[in-house]
Amino acid sequence: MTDFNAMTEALVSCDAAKLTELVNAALAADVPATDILNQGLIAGMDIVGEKMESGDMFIPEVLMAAQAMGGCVEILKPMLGDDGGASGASVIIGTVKGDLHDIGKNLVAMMMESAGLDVHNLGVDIAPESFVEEIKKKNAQIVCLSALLTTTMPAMKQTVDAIVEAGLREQVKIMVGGAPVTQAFADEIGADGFSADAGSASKMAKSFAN
Amino acid sequence: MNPQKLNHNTFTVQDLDRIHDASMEILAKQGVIMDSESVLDLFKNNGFKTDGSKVFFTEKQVLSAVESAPESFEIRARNPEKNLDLGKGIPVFCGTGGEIYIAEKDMTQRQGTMADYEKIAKLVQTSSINQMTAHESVHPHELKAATSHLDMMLKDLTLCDVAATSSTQDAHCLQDCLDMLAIVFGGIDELAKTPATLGIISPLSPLQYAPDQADALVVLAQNRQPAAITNMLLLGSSAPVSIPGALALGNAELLAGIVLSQIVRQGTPVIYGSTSCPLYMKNGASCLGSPETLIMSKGIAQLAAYYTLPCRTGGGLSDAHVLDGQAMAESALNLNNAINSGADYILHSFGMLSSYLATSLEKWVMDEEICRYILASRQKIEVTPETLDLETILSMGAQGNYLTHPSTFQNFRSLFQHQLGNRDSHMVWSKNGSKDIVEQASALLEKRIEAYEQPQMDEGMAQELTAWVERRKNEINAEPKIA
Repeated sequence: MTDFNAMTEALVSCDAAKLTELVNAALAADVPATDILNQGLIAGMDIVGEKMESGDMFIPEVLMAAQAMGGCVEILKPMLGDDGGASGASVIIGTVKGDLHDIGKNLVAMMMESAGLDVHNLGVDIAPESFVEEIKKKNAQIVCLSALLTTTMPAMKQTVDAIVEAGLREQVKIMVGGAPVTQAFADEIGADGFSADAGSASKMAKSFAN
Repeated sequence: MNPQKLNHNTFTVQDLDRIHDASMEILAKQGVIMDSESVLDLFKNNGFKTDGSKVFFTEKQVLSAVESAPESFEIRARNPEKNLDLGKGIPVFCGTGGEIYIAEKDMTQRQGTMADYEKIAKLVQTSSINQMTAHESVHPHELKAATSHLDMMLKDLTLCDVAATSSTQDAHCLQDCLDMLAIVFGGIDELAKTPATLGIISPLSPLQYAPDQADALVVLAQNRQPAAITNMLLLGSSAPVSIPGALALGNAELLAGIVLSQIVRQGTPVIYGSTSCPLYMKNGASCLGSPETLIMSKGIAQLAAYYTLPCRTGGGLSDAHVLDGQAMAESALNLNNAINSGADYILHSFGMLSSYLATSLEKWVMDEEICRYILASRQKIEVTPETLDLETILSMGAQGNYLTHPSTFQNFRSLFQHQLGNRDSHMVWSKNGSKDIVEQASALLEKRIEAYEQPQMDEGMAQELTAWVERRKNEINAEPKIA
């Protein structure tokens, strides 16, 4: 009987070495990779997310946990089949045209990845048409737009408009975030969701995916 | 007397030498990314080592640039009586710049409008404090984004006669502002003789200048207008957590910008600045209300002095969303720290809430009061036979009452005159409506807006400015949309 709790604990205490050891031991004991992923790693990251929300874990710890998990997912990947064992939801994330800030956006991307979503991080300064193109290419279900500058917030609206014009609006849920962004702004530009921090963004994306 | 206690500097000269040396190593080994082809060419043509978009700097190149930037300079205002000296010991203040929301006194926030913008311009014009307009005191959301800098600059130049900050959103917006200033100050060549504006240039930490900012810095230097090169390091995300490391990194970025300004045009006035703070590790937001923010400000002010350059740091900075104890404590601490550290230019001095995102008009007048208070507390006290006035003390002796003494009658108005705050007994205060400081500020700002008189402007100049803005708007609107 595999002790998934030990994996969860190793993840919550950001102990990458211990986690890797547990994952390898479980594989050696013929535990299915999907079980390790879902019951050990993703369940562990759910707890990390909750602890972050309650203020018991800080961002650098969450990222260390996410990195530890990422390392183990790499070990599991060859055994997980075509969909990589993720929940299947394809997420596109990027900072909008004219804005080169990416720290917060990368944090959101990492949190989403650790929640098992298939995240495609496009980077910064992404034009509306590039978002449209990537939605088609990656068959995205969720699109996340980031902006830090007040001057680039209009580019969020342009991106939403471009998605509508391309006839892809029904296919995707659009989430927006970044320091100056508010729920009211999200409503105004026709986005589906806004979240104030990385933890809740990941939670929201998962709820959209399900 | 304890000389240690008299030394209020956070860093010793040896500390500053070490930070400088570390910055030199960063600039030589890691370099700074300049994301603009034309800027890269400038560096290459001036003998700088480059690799892709990275530019590397030697200490000699840096020190030569630092040397050629002036220690102090003047910024002209439309009203010559309001010209400003930067770097001569008296700070120049600026209210909020770039905020998008208005924080109402009922604790709600809403998008800013041009009506708010005009009200704020009237507060600037009716202030007794040494200041300039900040450009975009709050963003008027109803305006077209592509041309709003023109509307804002027009208001700054016509509703106020103090010096005006220019938009540095990109090189084109900046050039538009300079063209408008040229109308006011007798042509673009005349403008370059004595600066009449400044622009804020922000590196993209760590160690990068985005194309818009690098190009705007070049335009400022070409026109010999001052560049306030200012970063906002977030300790723990765009900079290390360690304060000396963060200062070394930030210093390297700022020096790279200063070098660019001087290779474009030697003698371009620059302001060396930073308003850095830790990242709040629970949610990834900036955390201006931190002791580390104050230490970073002090370090930046000391480094500016080390390079004999004017300094920008601090402000009425707070992470609070409403006018509560947090807002005023953080603002007062930040302002006090900046002024006492020797900041020459303090942006976001008035009205700022929500970590640079919101402007409160009530807080605007409250912050002004705090600044007046701090400045008054720094007045030079001369100890002379006249100020000691022993004759009066000896003549009054024990149990004397100075209230009726002629020296009190003659001098009491030199004491600080409060414009806000309660000094009544609780009973009297209650009887007068129990008004807290926010209500008092609200009444004061309305009074100032009512008392506002638009400064005179030559009619021909006003018409020329308006016509120019209209023409430029038409041009911008006709440009093909950039996706």
